[in-house]
Amino acid sequence: MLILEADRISKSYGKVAALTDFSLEISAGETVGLTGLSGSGKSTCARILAGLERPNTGIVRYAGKELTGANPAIQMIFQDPAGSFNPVRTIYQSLSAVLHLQGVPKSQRRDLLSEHFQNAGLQTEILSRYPDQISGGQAQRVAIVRGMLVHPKVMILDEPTSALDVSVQAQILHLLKDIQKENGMSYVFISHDPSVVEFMADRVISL
Amino acid sequence: MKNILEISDLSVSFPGPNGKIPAVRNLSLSLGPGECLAIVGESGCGKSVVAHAVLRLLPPGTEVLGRVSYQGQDLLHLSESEMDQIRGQEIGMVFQSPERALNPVMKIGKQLISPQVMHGLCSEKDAELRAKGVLRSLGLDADRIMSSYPWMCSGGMCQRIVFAAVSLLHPNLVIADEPTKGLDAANVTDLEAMLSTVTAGKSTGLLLITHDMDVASRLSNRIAVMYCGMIVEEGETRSVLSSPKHPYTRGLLGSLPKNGFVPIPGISPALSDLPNGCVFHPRCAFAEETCRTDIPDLKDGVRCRRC
Repeated sequence: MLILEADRISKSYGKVAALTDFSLEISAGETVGLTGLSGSGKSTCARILAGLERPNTGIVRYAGKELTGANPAIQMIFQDPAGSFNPVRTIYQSLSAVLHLQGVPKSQRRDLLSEHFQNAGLQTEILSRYPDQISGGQAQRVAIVRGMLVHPKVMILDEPTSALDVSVQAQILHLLKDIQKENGMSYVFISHDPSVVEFMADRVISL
Repeated sequence: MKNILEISDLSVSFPGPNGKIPAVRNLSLSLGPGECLAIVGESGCGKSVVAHAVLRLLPPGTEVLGRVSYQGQDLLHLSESEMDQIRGQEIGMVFQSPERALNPVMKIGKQLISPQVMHGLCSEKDAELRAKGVLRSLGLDADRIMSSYPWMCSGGMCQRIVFAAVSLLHPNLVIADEPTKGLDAANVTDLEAMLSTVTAGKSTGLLLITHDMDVASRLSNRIAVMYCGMIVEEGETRSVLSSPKHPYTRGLLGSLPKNGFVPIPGISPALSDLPNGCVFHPRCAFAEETCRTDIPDLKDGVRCRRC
C-alpha cells in the first residue's frame, strides 16, 4: 500500500535550485534510502516529505491526500539530536509535552516514558537531565522515542547517525530496524554514507 | 630520532557536583617526526581532552597532572605568554566543526594573514601572497575566499581554510581533532590528502583524533584505542586493526559497516560513575572475576594492551 508519495517536486532558495523534478513512492513498511553528496538536496527533500516545507512545484501526498503541513503521522529525526531539544527543558519536560498533546494524564506519563526508554536501551535517570547533559547517542535515542510517542506511520531520518561514533551508530541502526519490525513503519533514510544506506534500505535513490 | 611529543602519566579531571570527574587517566603516548598517531574511541572517551591538554586549552578549574613534553619542554609548566608562542607556530590545531573554528565576523583573508604577521614570519604583503598560494594549492579560488566571511563557505571549504591557516605557520606538530566529522565522502578524501602532506616531509608529526576507523587506518602509522579515559590498546595501525587484542577494540571494529554493524552491548558508563576493575568489564563477553576487581596494567611491548 502506497503511504507517501512525492510527485515531481522542485524547491529553490532564491536562484539556487535545491531540488528539481523529484518523484518518490514509499509503501507501508518499506525503507527507502536517499544518498548523495553535501548540497545534493537530501535534507531539502526530507523537510518537504515531513511537511516542514512546501515545494515550489509538484505535490506530496500522504495516504492519498495532499500534505500541506506538518502531520503527526510523519515524524522527522534530525542529524543533530541534542539541537532538536529545547535546551532549557529537561528531557522529561520535553517528552511530557508531547504526551500532554496526546491527552495522556500526567500521572501516567513517567511510567509510559520509562517503558519507552527501556525499549530504546535508555536509563530512566536521563529523564531528569537537560539535553547538554546527555551524549549524542543518548540524545538520538531520546529523539527516536519522542518520534514514537505519536505512533507515526512514516519516519524521515535525516542523517540520524552521521554525528555518532561507529559503535553507537551500529546500536541506533539496529534499534531502528527493531522498531520497524515491531511497528511496520516506513522509513526514508537519508545518509551520505552509502554503506549505512545499503544496510538500512530496501531500495536506494541517489540525488 | 627524538620524539616531538611525549605525554607521560597524564590525568585530567573536571570539577563535578559530587567531586572530580576523571576524563583522562594515566595516559602515556609519544609521537616522532614524520609520524601519524591516531587516537580512536567513542565520544566522551577523552580523546579531545588529550588534545586540549597538550595545548592547554582546558577550562579553568580543570586538574591536569603528569607531563606533556614538547621537544624537551614541559608544556604544563610554561607561562601563558610562552604558550602563545607555542600555539599555532609550533603546534597547530585543526579543530572539529571548522565553521566554528573561524571568526564569523572577520574576513577569511585577515584570519590567514594576521597569525603570520603576529608570529613574525613575514610582512603583511608577503603573508597575503603566501595565504593565496596555499589556498590555490588546496583547490580554492583564493581571491574570492580571501574577501569572504566563513558563513559564505561550505563545510568542506571551511575545513580547507582551517588547514591552510595551520599549514601557513609551518608547525612541528599538527593536532587534528575529528577533522572529518560531518564531511561527505568527497570532502573526507580531500582532507585525507591534505593531512597526508603534513607528515610527508618527515619532520612534522600528526596527532589525529578521530572516531572514524577508516580514516585512522589510511593516515596513521600507530593507533591508540581509548575507552573511558584510558588507553586500552596501542600499536602499529595495521597490526591493531588486523588482529585486535582488547575486547573493546574488537567490538569497535565489529561495529564498522564492512563488518556488519555488530553493536557492542550496553553503553559507556558515566565518567562520574566508573565501574571497579576493568572499565570495560560490564560490556565484555569475556569478563572474568578478576576483571571486576582489578584494573589491568597496560602491558608493554610492540602491542600495548590492558587485557
